[in-house]
Amino acid sequence: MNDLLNVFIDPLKLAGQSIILVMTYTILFLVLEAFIPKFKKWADTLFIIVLILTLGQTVMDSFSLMGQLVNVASDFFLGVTPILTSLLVVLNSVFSFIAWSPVILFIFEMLMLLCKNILIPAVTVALVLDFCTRFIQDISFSKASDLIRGSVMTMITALLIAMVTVLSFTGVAFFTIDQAIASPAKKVIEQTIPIVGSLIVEGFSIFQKYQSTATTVAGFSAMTAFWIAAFFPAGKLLIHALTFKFLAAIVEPFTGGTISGLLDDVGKSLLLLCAVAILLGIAFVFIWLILMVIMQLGVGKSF
Amino acid sequence: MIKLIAIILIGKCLLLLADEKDVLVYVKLATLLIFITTMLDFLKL
Repeated sequence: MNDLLNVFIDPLKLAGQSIILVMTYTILFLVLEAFIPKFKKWADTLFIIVLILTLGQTVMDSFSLMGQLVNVASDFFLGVTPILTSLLVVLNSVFSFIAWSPVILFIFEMLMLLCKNILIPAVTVALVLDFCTRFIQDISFSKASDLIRGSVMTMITALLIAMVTVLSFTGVAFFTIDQAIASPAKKVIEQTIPIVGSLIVEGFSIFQKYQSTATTVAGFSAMTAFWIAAFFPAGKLLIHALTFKFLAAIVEPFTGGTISGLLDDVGKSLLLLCAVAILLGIAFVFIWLILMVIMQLGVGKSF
Repeated sequence: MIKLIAIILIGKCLLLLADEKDVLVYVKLATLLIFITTMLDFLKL
């Protein structure tokens, strides 16, 4: 039980430690500036270096977590693909009736490919450019990093819409898909920037219809386990991102724009990484739910 | 990207030590060169 609790408590502990450390550094640097006025010239640069040495590990952990998540999801989809394909062939009569299309497999494979080769490297590049911008403010890469972040967000939106569209097409025969499927796509288009919150809230409503069906198949505890497994990395990344945002808010009045700006930029990048993790989580749960529905249809149960 | 970070770090050190805005031009030039080579590497040209 302790191990299970630690999974949720550890990120929060880390966040608390980071906040205490950064506040201590802020006090230390302010005291140094007060007693040695000449130090002011070096203060910002040294503060950035100290921050990178302290919080850099958290950022690296977030990226390695994301890398692991993509690898696990990729392996999972690779393992599930033959099962799904076999089911498609075996249950051909059912699926010709419900107009199921294996295009969904293509969408998931494409999702993995894009995450691994484009989305995660792009977020890394945006983070490096942000660092360069804040380190020497006269050489600004802010527009480039904003462009990269915007493009990544657009790709996430496009992928989510692709998944929702495919699910709507295939789901028409399963259930009568209503606003629960249609509204997330609209909201995602409308609110591209605060996408993470929108994804979390609307992601739940997407599964609303499927959830009841799947819960009867797998049971409540199994479904809870799926949900936690799917969205735990995203939750962890969200805590990290919000920690950086919080640090930026605390530090801003005492250190000036450079430090808080850097922390805020790191928070933004981690939030973007979190959006990618949520997208993968949604894909993971989609596959599970579809698999369960297919199996139930295969044994002749109707919904 | 590592080259870019390296030049930014070196540039910042130069700017802090030299305390002259003239150095900034050289740092910008070096950064631009590194940026272009990084882009060319990325595009495999």
